[in-house]
Amino acid sequence: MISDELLAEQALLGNIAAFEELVNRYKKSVFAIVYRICGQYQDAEDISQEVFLTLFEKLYQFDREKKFSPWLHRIAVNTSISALRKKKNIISLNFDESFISIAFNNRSHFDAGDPHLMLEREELRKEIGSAIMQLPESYRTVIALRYQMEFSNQEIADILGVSKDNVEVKVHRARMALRKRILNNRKERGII
Amino acid sequence: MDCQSLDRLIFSYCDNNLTPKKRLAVEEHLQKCFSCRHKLDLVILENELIKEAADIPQLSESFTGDLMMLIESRYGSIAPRDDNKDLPASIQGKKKANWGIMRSRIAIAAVFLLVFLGASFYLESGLIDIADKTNPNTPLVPITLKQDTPKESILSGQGKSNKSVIKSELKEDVAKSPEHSNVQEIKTTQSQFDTSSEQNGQLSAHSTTTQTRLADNRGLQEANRGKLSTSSVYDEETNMLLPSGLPESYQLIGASQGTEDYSFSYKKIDNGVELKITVTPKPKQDSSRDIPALEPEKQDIDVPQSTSSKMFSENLSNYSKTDMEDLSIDEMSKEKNSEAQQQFNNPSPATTASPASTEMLNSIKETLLINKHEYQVTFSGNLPPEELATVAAVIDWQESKLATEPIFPQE
Repeated sequence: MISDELLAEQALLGNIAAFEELVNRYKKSVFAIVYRICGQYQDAEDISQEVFLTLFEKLYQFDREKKFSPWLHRIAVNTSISALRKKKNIISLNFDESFISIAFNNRSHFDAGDPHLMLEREELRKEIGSAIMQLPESYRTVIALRYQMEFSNQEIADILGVSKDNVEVKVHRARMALRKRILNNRKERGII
Repeated sequence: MDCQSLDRLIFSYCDNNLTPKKRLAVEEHLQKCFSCRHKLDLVILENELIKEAADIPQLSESFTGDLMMLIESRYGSIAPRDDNKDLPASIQGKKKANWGIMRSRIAIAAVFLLVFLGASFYLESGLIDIADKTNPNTPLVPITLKQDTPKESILSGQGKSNKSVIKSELKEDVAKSPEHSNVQEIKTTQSQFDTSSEQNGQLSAHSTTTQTRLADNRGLQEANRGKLSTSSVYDEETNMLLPSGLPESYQLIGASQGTEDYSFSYKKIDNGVELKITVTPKPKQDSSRDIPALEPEKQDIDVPQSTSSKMFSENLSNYSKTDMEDLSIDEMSKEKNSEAQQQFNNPSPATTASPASTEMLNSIKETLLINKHEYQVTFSGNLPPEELATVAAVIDWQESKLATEPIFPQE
């Protein structure tokens, strides 16, 4: 398989098929990052499109000595965050409830077992999902990259442009912030 | 190892990111500490729930097709799919561009190189003066791209401007070129603000007019790329807001103009951080202030008190209270800021080496009212919030009318 870097090089030379191939290779991961940061399907699709348009425009800035994937994912993270700030819709952010219920109903591992336990787990999942979306976007991004996209610390460091040690610190802080947010939410609802 | 030390390492332990020595120490502690084993269970459960919390919906199948069509409509024609002889075998059967994109890029570069060189020539020759001489910080960059030129003529590389480049008779061609009528002179006026750089001693160094000449062609390309439109906020009655008084360490690297706003890009010489200042002229009647939401709204989620929910709650409450006491959401923001400040004050080698290694994008928005014109100004960049605020405070804004006279003399 042709490397991403070679495809990028060919795309720069005007080979639009090479660019299309890059889009096909990365559209899922880009969309996944964007969706996890912004939490809305339609917004995520629009922002993903913006990411690839930015890629098309800025491809000449790509350093061929470096890996293509972290560079593109970094564009995805930055575009998502700036789009969020531009729209100032952080307040209304939440994972698409309709999708969550569809996804939940389609999960094979929920098909079996105690329905009561399934429901409990689903509620906890929703609670955590909401709390994640209430976090500052830098924490949300780290959690998405680490736990939902399962990137390694080195990959996250490359995407965020920080050191590997710094990633570890950010992950820890994000997790503590998440717990704090969950606790606060529960206190506000009088659960604890 | 004590319980407190384990609290600091437990996430890394679960993520398998510890050194063998630390990992062993954690495992030894876990064997003898019942409480910490519960904490570990909680972290494992949390990890699972976090992962499950955001299932990704399917991206629409037409995504790639729509995107490629958008690119084609925006940046020029794409070659027919049968011309694929030079393609790699793995992607044969798809299509190949007919160099339209490259030609478009070259055409854009040529047009703006021409305008830029022409402007530089006139500036240096003293034939025109678009800077306010009373203030050496006034950037000349707002390149005043009155973009009435049809998009197709630029992107397809068939515009007359290309011919001008080929002739290489720069001065004459500039004067004759149709583009010269699109370039408007900016006459900067005295600033209506007193927020001069003197108020901030440490950042009072003046930028110089050489910044303008350092605005390279890439910046100019960005100014034009994808932002051509016949309708624009820059009608002849509109004033333009120009920043000045930025510290000398900020080097102007580009300016761009959209239909709704225009922006200036700076790069800090010593650490490479980038600053973008976007100005959006607002209609007079719109005086509402735009305050970004800093704190997310509280969500109303009804979670039944079930067995596992209780267990989760108890574990969560009991877990490392001391570690969490001092970490409210508000404080997290402060912590983030102080972290950024610390990085700013003591940049790590990695930070110094690359602009990419700084914190993520920060931004400040403010609304300015100058001569009854309202502008929304956004400062954004990967520099620390404190520095961003200082830069925002130190900038001196000048309102400048867009003159209808062309910048180049008519023959």
